[in-house]
Amino acid sequence: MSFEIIDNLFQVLVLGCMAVLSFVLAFRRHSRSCLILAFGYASFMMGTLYYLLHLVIMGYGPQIFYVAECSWMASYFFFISLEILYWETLRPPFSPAALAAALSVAGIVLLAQVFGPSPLMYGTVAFTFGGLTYLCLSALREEKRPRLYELSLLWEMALQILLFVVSGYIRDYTHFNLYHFVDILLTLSLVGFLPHVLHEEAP
Amino acid sequence: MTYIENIFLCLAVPMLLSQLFTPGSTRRFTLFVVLGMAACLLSAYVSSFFMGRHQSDVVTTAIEIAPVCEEIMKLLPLLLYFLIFEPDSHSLTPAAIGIAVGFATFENVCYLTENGAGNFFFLLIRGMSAGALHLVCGILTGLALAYVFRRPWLSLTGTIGILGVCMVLHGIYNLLITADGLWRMLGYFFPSAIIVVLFVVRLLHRGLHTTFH
Repeated sequence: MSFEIIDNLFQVLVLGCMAVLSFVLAFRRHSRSCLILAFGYASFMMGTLYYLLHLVIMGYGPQIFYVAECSWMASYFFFISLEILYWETLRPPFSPAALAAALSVAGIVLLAQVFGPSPLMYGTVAFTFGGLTYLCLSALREEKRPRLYELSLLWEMALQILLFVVSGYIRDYTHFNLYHFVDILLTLSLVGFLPHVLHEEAP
Repeated sequence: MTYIENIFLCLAVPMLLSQLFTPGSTRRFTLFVVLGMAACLLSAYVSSFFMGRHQSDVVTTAIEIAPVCEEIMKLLPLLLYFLIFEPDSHSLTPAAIGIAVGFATFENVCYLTENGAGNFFFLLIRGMSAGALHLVCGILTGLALAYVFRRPWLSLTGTIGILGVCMVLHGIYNLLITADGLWRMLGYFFPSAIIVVLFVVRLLHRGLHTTFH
């Protein structure tokens, strides 16, 4: 069996379990954050599931439209929703350093054309990642302590960009390689979101 | 060739006429059903446009193009209602369900016109699965917009997020039903399974008022 299928199957199973766990915790704790995180996990998982099924049933990945990418993008919109929830009663202070970092991240995404080659797709990713970077860095600055959710989100975005850059150099996905290593790391960093959110929610 | 505009007129006119004699919530629901059918008609045009532009075949269009176009078109009337009329949370979910039902009905009617209505068992399964899929997307969109993301800014990111979820759910369904054997059966039954799960959750939570903070 191709390692690409094993890697995607691993991601689907792990994120599927995390989505169910987050849903259960959301209802037990009446937690909006957990519910939004569950949507994020489910969305990421379904994007990978679509890609995996396409690979298994059709024998190749999606070629024309961006259904899986839209779903992965959607999960970042849920993650940004979590940040918006944090800033709901506050107002993010203007920070030139955070803005510079956000613009740099957006620039890297535009250069690497993450989720491209459609300009609409990588433009949206650049805007989303830039916004997320700004909000995460502002939250870290506001709290004056390392908030684990924001740190892991920044790490996860870095891995997502790295994954796309690495994919440009890999042609053979049948055996374990750097691409799969980064992808597995990405999956595990996503898993870390739930304990971090629960930790931040704890009184 | 299927004249879907003519089919739309045949289905929509009686429903629109019923608007003159039905009260409040019934009238609103019927109107959303008609809007759902209109969304289906328009999404057929949009999908055909992209199909021609990318010179893709029917299967690729069904798997990759149609889910994106259909879910965007289905969201538009609901978004218009949500943003302009600012309905309360209890009115939003029935509106989303109405649009989904209208969409599924029109899609099924077009399918019947094109493929005939001879095979009862197959049509029963298809009717249930396509109906259940659109209903799942409608319920998900309605509930999420009404109860989870109904806050400033959150509604913007939440709407885009939910749209992505519906697109991929639809894509997975279309992908499975274009395959053969077990995959196809799985495709026909998974939307109904989600409906059953949602219904059980609803029954379990009957009387309990869950609020998220």
